[in-house]
Amino acid sequence: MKRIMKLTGYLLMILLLTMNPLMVFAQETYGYVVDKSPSPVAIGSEVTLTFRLTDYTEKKSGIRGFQIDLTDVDDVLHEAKCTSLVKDKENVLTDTVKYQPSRDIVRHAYVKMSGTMSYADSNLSEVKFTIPKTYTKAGTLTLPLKILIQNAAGDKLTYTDKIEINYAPEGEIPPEPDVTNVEVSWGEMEFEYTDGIWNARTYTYEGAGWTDNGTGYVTVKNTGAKMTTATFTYTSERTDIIGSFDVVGTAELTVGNELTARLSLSGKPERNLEENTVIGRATVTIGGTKSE
Amino acid sequence: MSKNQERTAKEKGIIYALLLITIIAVCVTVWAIFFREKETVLAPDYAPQEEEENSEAIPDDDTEKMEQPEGGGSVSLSYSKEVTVDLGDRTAKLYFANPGKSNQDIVLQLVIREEVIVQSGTIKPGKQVMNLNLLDHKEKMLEPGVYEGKFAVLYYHPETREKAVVNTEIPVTITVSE
Repeated sequence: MKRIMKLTGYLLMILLLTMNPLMVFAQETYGYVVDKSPSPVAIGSEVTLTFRLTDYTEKKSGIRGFQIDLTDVDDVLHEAKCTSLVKDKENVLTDTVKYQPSRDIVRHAYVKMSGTMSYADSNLSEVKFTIPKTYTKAGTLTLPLKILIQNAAGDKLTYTDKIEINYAPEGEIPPEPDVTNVEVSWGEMEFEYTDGIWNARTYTYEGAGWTDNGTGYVTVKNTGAKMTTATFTYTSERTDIIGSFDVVGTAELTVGNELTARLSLSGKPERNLEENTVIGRATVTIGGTKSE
Repeated sequence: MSKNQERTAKEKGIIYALLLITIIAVCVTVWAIFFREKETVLAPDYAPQEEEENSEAIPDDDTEKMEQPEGGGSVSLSYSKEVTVDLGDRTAKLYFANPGKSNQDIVLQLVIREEVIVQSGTIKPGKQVMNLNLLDHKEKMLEPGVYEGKFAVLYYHPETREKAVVNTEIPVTITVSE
């Protein structure tokens, strides 16, 4: 019996550790990204690395301090231009970003004497350096990265990563994509239905229908270098109310010009509508084929 | 059979049963973590909490904010209508930017035959994407070739995170390779 109890104990431990794939560990985690611009970068040109947090919100424990270490490879960081992007300078013990020759790293150290880093700060630092002209072929420069974070809950977190920077001779950098630029703006789309006013002489309601106080519109402007097209459609989420735009079919939108389409609704609601009920959605299709 | 032998046989039976339960539990856990098919994420009514991890700052983007109609929205879009999908990497290479002058967050979907194969996290004003990951298992519905699809651009209020009643669709050409 003792043997069984022992074995049961061991097996229970295994069960507890394996039966919960969604087990949450107590320690906080912070998401981060390193933006690289441009990518790929031409040999001999400057590349900018921007370090930022992606989920630093009030739901997370505040950060008391952090350290970002970027290890040098091929001496690319010796003359790097380093800038702290953290705007919270209150009660800060240190906020320095610089190349440290003794360690051969660029280090950003930020520590608060009291309190935690403002949740408005998600951009941490920027490092600019030039891809050496000694590189002759396309390739990837890999820089080891280590991030240490200490938060108000006392967690000490370490993240290790690699930043891969793609570079190529200038003539081999792919051309800029063929880009379309447009601006889209829309009104509040607030519609109100009225039964109208009772006319005692004709025994009918007059003036029933929908009004929008001028908010039911969508405007598309072509801010690019080529002509494009725009189509406006309304999809009702109810069977008792339908709608349509006054721009029918696909309209041409020449460079620099804009087009505004106004939405009209029809149909009496079968039941009372609560304020701010979404009754439909408008879709603007840009770049479809012009209809004849 | 003596009492001792009976007891030993019973103990053995219990041990085997416990071992079997443990093996089943481990198998279920491995399946749940690695093999369970995840459902497609539908267009969210509220913007995802996390920013798209593949989004980058748009270089030299320092224009003033667009005028925003009260209660409405305004966005500026820059995009390329050519998309390439790499089935091996499970990535889509594209170009889509939400310039800093926009007043809305964006979630970008890539749609082929009414099926959403890519859905980004939140793309905030001032950010662009050039690579997005395919949704789980979507590479299985595609073969190498050229498809006509579309971007579905969903707009979200940056503070309330509510989805706007206006959205944009953009026809694109998608080249799929192994």
